[in-house]
Amino acid sequence: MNKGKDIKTVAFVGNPNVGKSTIFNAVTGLKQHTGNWTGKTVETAVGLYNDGNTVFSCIDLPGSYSLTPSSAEEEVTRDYIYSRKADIIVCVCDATCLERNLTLVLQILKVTKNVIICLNFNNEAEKCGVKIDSAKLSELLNVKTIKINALKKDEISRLVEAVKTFEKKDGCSDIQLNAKEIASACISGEIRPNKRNRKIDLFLTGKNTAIPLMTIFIAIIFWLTLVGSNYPSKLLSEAFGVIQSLLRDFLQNIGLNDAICDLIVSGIFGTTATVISVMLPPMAIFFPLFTFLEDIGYLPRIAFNLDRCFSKCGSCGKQALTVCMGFGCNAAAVVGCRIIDSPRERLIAIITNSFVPCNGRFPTLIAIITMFFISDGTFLSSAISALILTAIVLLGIAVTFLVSKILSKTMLKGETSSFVLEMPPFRKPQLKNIIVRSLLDRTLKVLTRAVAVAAPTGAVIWLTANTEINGHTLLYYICGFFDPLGQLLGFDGTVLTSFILGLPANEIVMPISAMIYSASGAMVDIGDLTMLKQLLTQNGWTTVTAICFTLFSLFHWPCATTIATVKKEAGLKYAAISVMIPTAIGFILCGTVALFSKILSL
Amino acid sequence: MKTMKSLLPGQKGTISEISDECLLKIRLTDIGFTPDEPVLCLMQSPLGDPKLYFVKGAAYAVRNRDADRIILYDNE
Repeated sequence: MNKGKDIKTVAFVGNPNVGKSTIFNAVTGLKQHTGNWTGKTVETAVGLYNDGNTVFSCIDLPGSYSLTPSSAEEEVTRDYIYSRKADIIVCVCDATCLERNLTLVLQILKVTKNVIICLNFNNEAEKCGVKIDSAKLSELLNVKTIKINALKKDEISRLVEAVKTFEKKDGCSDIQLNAKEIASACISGEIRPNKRNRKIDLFLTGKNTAIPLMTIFIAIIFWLTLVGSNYPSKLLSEAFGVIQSLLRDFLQNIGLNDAICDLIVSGIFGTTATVISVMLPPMAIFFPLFTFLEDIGYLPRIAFNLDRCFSKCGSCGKQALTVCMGFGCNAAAVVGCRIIDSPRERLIAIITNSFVPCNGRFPTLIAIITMFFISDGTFLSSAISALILTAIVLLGIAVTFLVSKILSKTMLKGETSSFVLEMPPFRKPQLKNIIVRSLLDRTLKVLTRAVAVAAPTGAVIWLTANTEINGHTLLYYICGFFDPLGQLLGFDGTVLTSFILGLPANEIVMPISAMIYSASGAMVDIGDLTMLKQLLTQNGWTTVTAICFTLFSLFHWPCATTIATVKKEAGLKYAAISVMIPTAIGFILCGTVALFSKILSL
Repeated sequence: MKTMKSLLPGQKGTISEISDECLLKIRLTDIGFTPDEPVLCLMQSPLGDPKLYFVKGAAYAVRNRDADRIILYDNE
């Protein structure tokens, strides 16, 4: 296909929020992958443009305001540019703030002449009173300038054409003019703030409207995730059940030992199937919704609204974003904490992240709420469920603030950092991009690690449940061992053991409990909530047990993937701390509730 | 000394200089908070801090403590 032709390397650079990633996605299509799963492009995305005749390798560098780095992301961009690895650099510029963009462009031109300028958002600029003379810009900078409307396909082909026909030059530019001079030569008109944006922002950040709106949005997202994932979860469960039977028949037919067959079918396959059918639907709904908010530009508004709360707790408004990411996946959010520049504040965000329930814990929480607090399946009850869930989440957020404050007064003492947060204009969300990015990038990645972790866990659980010593299973002894502590916490040894065995993935905590209670040697389908409730109440569960279970679900050690990620991002010491703090809080809260309920004989 | 912190939503000013040599000064300069540059305060957070400022075509949230380091010309 390539026949020894050199593949050109094209690097996409630009300020944050200029539409660089949109253009990158349009050029590379689906033929790309990101190095890491994060909330924003903190890691680089690498992709290929291939139209059969030409191939070029593209890299999407983190958005930077300047090559003088203020963050790890900007260091990546700077190092890459200085390394001169790229054959062509495409500088994506925002026409509404060209002068600022030119700072970066001029710095890059001091390194190399092989630059194409891609001028984006020209329509927006015109609405705000400015027009850019791209010919003049090309002349002054001595590079090709293309005006682009990133949303239109034929415009992208002009960029591709420019890259294809680009002739590489040696050396760097010696432009004597500065950004201000070039800007005043090319820009006509004076930039005004976008009126429509300001009107919308008055609602989103208004004194009386900001926080209620945010709470409503969260509640709506939860409600959609809740309601939307119900039916698909059941379907998946049934489908897997069918496959499971077929698998069992097949393995038995080829004469496999009964025990090993059961280990594979019920232990490994069964656990993995449970995890997928419980995890996949909520994630397939939550991640696109979150990515939608991100694309539209709402997330910085959340940081703007809540920054004061966070800075009073010794942290920063960007932590609001990592908390939001935590609703999707705690491990992914820990990586996403890289958007916080100050190391001290980043650690606070990492340690406190598991206080908000991730997608793995939502189904369990929802099941508990449905079983113990709501009685019928009407719209009203699903709305109430969403509200209770929101209340639980708000508790997690309150504890996040409290612990952040304590951490910054004790272990992680220091000054609140200074930072500047850009509020981009509201832009039309790219629906196709959202679906692709959130499903392929985030959902698939999280699902893959869940499967990789669920399969061996399933084997271990099966072994403990089916290995007998002196007439009882290993699992029986383990549950018995943990029973005193479990009782102190308001539940029992079975629940505590389930949490421990659920270390690899929070999704399986409830299925493990169901398995132990029903004394079956394998994971039980928890799809039918009426049956599950019966099973639980038969084994001593009361409303208090449900409350303590909910609290412990919120405040216990993070899942194994999260712990491993924390270790990678922050070191062993903080991984240990991120385990101990939530667990300690869980013990205290549950222990207190259990104690009070015993005193009041509830 | 008049600083950017004193601007209320709707008020304009012109930047004179940024006090303190620090990482924030480099960042602010890169973004466009440079001498003789006009700045407009757009709005403030529901909790009062930070405020949103419009400079060189884009809007940025800057905390009051940091906005106090951006000195404006007195004459407006």
